[in-house]
Amino acid sequence: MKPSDASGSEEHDWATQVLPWSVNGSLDDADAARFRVHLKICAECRRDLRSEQALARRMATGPVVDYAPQASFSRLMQQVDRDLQRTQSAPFPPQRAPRVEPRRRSRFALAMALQAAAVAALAVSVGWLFLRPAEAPQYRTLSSAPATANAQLQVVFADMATAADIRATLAKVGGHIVEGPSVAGVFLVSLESRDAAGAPLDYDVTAALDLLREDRDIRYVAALPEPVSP
Amino acid sequence: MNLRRTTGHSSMNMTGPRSEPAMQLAADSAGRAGNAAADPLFIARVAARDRVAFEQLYIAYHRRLSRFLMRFTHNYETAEEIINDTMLIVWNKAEEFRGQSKVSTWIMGIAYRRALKTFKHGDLRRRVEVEWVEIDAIQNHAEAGADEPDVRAEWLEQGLSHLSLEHRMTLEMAYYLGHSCEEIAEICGCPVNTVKTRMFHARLRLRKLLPALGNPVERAP
Repeated sequence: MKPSDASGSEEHDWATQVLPWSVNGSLDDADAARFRVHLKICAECRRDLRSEQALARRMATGPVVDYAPQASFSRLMQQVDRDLQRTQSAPFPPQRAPRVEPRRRSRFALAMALQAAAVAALAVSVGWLFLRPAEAPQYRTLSSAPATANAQLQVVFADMATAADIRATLAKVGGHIVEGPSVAGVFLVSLESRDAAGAPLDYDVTAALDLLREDRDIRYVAALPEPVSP
Repeated sequence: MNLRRTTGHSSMNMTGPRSEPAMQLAADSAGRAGNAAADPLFIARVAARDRVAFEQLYIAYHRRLSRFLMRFTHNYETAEEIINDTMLIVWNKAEEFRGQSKVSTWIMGIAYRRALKTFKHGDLRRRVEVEWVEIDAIQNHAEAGADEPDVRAEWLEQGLSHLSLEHRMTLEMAYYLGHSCEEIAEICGCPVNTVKTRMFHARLRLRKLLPALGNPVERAP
């Protein structure tokens, strides 16, 4: 019988709500004891409890197919490795930024920094187009000697680097910007393969990378795969 | 009538009808399976990109998650997709886990959100509508005194499949996985009172859908 007084009714409502967790045994000790006290005086809850216990038993009954997890795990790790390779070949390496400052950077500050970087990159690229020395025409005849393929680098310059800084930095390795910046602020830099007289240069990509990585005006640099010569 | 199951995978083990109550399953399944106290250590090792630890964690949770998800989808490929999406997030976000909740609750919460997204955009609802026509026949069979385990189980499952996803998941998390009300609230990212309300409505709806629920269930051994 459902209790009729106000406090009894409240207790019944409470018991109705917690009843499922009495069934699965997850009530804490105090609530479980309180529920048992209510059960002694409430036939409706006793009936509900029996019904819900039977339902829980029924839900746990039935054929179960257990799949061996190793094949699924292998597929997951293949995806992890693919993601890792994609990240490593992306303009920015997957290295985590060191937490040198305990304070948290606000989203606004981050957005402003990105915007400043984009503007700086745009200014550099426009400046470079106007300021770089005129180049010889890029056409060649069929009788020309085959061009040596230039090594190409992906480069992200430091936010504060000026056009002059960038020119000076690239001059150290005989490089010049051929493309960029991308949305991510990445420039494509080609290393000169010939000197002014057209003689092949014996350059070392690894040494160029080492030199650029030590430069404070370079945030990131990586070599692109060697282009295939025609 | 046999349950329709899609089993497009060769590496599986079939276990017979189980009689253990949901509470035993909860104790037996991962999360609580193995050494729950060791879970945070596993997460720390996963955060350090320890693949052996991740494999152990994966295997520990695979059974719990696959059994739970298969109750909704009956399709291992879909269940595996949800499990792997879940564990990929665990792999990628392990270093952000600060131990504010139990590891099992954290992982179940990820799986819950991923499953909800899949089921709401998948054809689960269409399947439910198609199967609606079968429910009367099944119920009649049950009321007529048929008490074969297969019939009773499918009859109940038909009723469960007509609950809303949130309601059914709440019911399954309580009765199949054995989670407490507070844990379910954490998994679902909702207040405790919402869980109680969902559970109340799930039970009410189930009784309306299956008015004879009490009889065959109470005849169960």
